[in-house]
Amino acid sequence: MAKTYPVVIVGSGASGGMAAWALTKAGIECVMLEAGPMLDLEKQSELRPIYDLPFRGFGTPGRFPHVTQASEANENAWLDEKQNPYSHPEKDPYYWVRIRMGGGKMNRWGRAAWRLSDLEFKAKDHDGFGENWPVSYADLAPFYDRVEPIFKVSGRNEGLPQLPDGQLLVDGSPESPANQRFIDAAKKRGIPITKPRRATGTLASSLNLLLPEALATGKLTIVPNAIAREVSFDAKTGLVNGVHFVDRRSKRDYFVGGKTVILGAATLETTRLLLNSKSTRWPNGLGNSSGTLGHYLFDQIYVKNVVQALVPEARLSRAARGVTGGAGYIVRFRNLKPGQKENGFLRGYTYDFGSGGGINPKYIPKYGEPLLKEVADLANASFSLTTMGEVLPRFENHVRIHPTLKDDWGIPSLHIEHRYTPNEHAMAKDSMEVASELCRAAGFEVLEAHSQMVPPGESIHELGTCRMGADPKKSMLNQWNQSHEIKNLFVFDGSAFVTGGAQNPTLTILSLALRSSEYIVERMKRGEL
Amino acid sequence: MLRRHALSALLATPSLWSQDIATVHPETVAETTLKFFSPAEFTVLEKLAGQIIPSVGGRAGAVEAGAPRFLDFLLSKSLPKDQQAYRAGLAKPGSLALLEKPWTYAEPADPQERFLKRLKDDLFRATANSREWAAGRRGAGVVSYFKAAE
Repeated sequence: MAKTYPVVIVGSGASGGMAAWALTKAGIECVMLEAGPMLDLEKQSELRPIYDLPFRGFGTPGRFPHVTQASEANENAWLDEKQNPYSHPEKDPYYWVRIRMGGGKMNRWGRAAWRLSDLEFKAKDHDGFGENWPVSYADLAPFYDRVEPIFKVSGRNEGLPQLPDGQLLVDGSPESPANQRFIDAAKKRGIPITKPRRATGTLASSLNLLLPEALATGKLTIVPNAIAREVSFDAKTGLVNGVHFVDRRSKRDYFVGGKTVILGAATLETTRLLLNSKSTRWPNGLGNSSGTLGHYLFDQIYVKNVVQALVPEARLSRAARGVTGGAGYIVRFRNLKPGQKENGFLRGYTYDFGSGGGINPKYIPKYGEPLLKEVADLANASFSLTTMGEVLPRFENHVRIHPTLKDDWGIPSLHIEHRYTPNEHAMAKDSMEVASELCRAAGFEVLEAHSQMVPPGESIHELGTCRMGADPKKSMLNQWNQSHEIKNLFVFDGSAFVTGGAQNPTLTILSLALRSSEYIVERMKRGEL
Repeated sequence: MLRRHALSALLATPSLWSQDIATVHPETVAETTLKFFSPAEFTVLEKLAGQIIPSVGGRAGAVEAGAPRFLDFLLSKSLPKDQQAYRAGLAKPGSLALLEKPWTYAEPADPQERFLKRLKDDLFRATANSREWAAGRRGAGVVSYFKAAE
């Protein structure tokens, strides 16, 4: 029997989970469609010796050509690429990394929780490129303030305009001598460093922090294995009225009614769903008079191990306990002044760094007994950094529906085109040079420095393609994540982003979802939704 | 046996289905036949394995850890480009001194250097992930395995 709910939420990850949390607590009944199973993660995992796995930890050959995060131990956690194909130009690989299970990608997030600032929200005002968000930092700050305590974000406030202070559990841990030397070297060059900001505690995800509280209200109904294929539009009212979905296991087709529809299926799945929701009224995708749906795809560049160094006095690990250890974060320091374009690129980048632990034997130019001795001697001597940089949103980086390719449920697949441009390449190169200089100044031995970015998508920070904006001609959504054209359609996930900075996006997704959920509550109370 | 005795004997057994029956992995008692490498290629591979990751101080090296035979199995299931890299590499492996050149993120242009560096990586991993390597190291090689969902 088709029920009609006040709200249908597609997706149970960060944005869907937060929508359910905020709406049900305000007494609004919601049905949530999750494309994957709801799992008891404790029962789902067990300890196994790596040598008993069929491929000794090398992974099943060819199973995940685009998911470098997949290991043989966790292969089953990622979405199967054969059942769920997509395409990209042969020369421009795109690594689309997906998870389908209750809680979404939050089950595997790195838990880095950074705020954006007006350097991102008002990026156009700063350097003239792209568009501003229709929200400012001041609009979002009160919601960041409320989300951080839910996820118990630890870190250290620095009072920097490019990295706003938060409601943090104070991380007052001392620095290891190696990290302190590096921090001092950076300080001398005016480069700010802070502690990592991390959501602490096991998982810290939608699955254990948002969904249980939403369910406890008695107002949330979760349908697992429900793969949304089309948002239904009523041409008479000009409103959406529900969602068609396919049951993952039986492949049976269903429809559930909704007076308001919130999409939180993750950036590209949400856009795919909107593009697939075509009708006479919306030949180019739902709510897409602007022609921007699918466009302005961006993510963040990652230069993994941009520098791999070793800390000389940490050689012979037993003698050098306590020399290394701990992690840190280099805050954006490039192009902070309006209109600046240092070293030939706009915007900026950050680094994660850490010391301690062993060095991958591939970095050690030896073999035989000398190799094994060196591996043992350097067991605690590693120092490495990874660059994370802003990617400029460009119209030509886009997704569209593939003319023939479909998934196992008959839903048309995406074709993804995303190329990095000279701006990203110049940024990566600059980050290599700065990281090398800092390591040498700290007295570390640089084993390898490079500036090769991972393929677009690999950061799992894909953003844009259904962006917000003040101008309906140039964007899909208003400042409340609400369709400019269909007032009961909302998009809460990363597809709504206008720019992304270099900061991990989850905290901003959660905060925006909370803000827009409260807008929905208010409009519903007034009878306007 | 009285019926109630039989019944109580059954009840005293925790569960017939959860008893720990000791088993072994086939690798510990049996050897696989070569599926991918020719005997000549395998001879070259075993020699290189012993040189690159030797047994030191009674610790298992690549040969003792069965790394060459595991690589034969892995490559028999691998993509053609990986199979080709091994075929070409073992036909003309080059001098091990190439492994003393610093590692670079970009793949080396010299095919022999490229192959040997890859071989070193694969051998190290196959050795470090073996039961022989884990033996005597507490907690070594244990991973949290995520089971397939229905």
